[in-house]
Amino acid sequence: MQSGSRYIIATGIGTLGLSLLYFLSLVLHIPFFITVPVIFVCVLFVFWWVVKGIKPVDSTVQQPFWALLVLLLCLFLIVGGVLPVADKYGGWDAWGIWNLHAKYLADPDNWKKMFQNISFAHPDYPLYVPAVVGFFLRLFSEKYLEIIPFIFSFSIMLFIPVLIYFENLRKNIAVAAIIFFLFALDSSYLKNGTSQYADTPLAFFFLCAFICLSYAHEDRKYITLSAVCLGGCIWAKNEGSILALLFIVFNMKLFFSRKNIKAFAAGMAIPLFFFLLFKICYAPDAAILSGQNKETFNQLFIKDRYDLVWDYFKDNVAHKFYYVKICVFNYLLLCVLERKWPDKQFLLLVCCAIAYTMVYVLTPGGIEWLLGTSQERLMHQLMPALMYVLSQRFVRVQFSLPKQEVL
Amino acid sequence: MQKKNAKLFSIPGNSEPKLNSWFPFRGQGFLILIAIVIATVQHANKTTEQGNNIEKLAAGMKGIKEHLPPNSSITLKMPEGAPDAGYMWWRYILAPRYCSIHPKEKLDTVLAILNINANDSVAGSVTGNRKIIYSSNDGQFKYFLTCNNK
Repeated sequence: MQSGSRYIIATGIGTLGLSLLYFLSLVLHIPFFITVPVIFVCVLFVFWWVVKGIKPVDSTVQQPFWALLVLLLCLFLIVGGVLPVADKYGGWDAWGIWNLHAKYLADPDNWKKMFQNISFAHPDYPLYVPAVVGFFLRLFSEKYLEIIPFIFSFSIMLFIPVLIYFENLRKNIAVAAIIFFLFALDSSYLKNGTSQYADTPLAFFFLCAFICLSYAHEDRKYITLSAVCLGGCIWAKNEGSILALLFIVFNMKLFFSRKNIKAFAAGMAIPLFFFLLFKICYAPDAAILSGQNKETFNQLFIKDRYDLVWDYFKDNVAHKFYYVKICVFNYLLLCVLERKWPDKQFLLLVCCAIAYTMVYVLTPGGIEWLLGTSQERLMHQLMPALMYVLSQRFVRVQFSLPKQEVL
Repeated sequence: MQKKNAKLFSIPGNSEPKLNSWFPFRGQGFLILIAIVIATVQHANKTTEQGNNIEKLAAGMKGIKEHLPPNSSITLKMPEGAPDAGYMWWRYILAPRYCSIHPKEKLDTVLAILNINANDSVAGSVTGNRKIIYSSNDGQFKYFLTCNNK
């Protein structure tokens, strides 16, 4: 794995550890003066375990100077691009759900009151984002409510293209740079990324799971890391369970082989335990699940619902993910030219999109409002992993100029 | 004379090491950190309509928050014509207190919010015979925090 990628993935897993431990401290009523050093030590240990345990690719190989310039330029574009599109207190769901939950979790005596908020607050949503933000709100002050969630969401949003850049850099610097620029110039990505929702952390963990899995042949530790990242998906959002399940199904042979099953279980066990603890002991039923009845099954056969999902999908692709469409076409074209099937990971992402479609189809009642408010965010969750998977094929393409004579 | 194969798009694997010290992780990490700091400073200093609205409402609720302990549960009576978003704003500002808008949940403490142009008779009908703990207005809304007389 690339040196920079190790640090980014370690930071992501460190925040996951922080979130889980802080939730545990609330459940067990552990005083904050004990919680803070314990979390600090544990997060440092996790960071050390991830960074030191992974051997980076040959560190003596340096990148050309302009690789640094690309990084600098894209960071400049992202910082400049975020300013006009980021709401000060995040999007609607940020103050309606995620940061609201964070405010509850920042109060150790009254955090369970959040489960009373049934109207418009979705207390069944997992706690990765609220617990991280809540921890820092409690550590510093509630005064920083417009700063702390922003720093967190901006960092995660930034990590995604940087991570893809680092992973592609040594393979094909041109492809790495183009993809980084596409992210940096995508105002829709920047807006969703700084909306302070949990979609971007979910996208980040899902991407990390793909990246770690691509190194699984080198060391079993990557299986553990991939499983931890899937656990992060589950702890970030309810949809994360669907993504994690499909990811596991598609890579079942690898994860459940006699050699790897322990490594996989070790990575998955802790986040899954906390998720089940939260769901069984605290969270009310998810609205979509509790609303299921006999009628819902009949919705499977209503063509209009599929048409509606497809129409919104086309509209979103045309207006917000146009470059992804171009990349997918190029990818499929390459597959045809190389006479190869699309990668398994690409098919996995297609299945994730189909699974999301089925969620819409099976959602009780009308779905137009739901599609209008959420489909773009679901696509935002899959987009980074898709760009990574596509880039893994693009980096193998080599264009050579004819030989030139140079004095 | 020397022949050189100039490549436009190819850096296959790690086979072409270029020695320079510009790109160790520390440098990258430092750049990322600087980007986060700059974005945060810009974000903290910018003014937006949404930010102004929340800060205005939060300033108006300051006195109410002082009179409501964090463990309290209240019923929120919304001003006439207020959308659901209004409830979500006030709930966000008052968290971790529990705010209910369900009429079936009969909580002792009621926070009645009225539009600033509501007259006294409207205020009287909202507060009823209840004891007013605290009242204020922020130029936009009038706030009446009341409890049962018993």
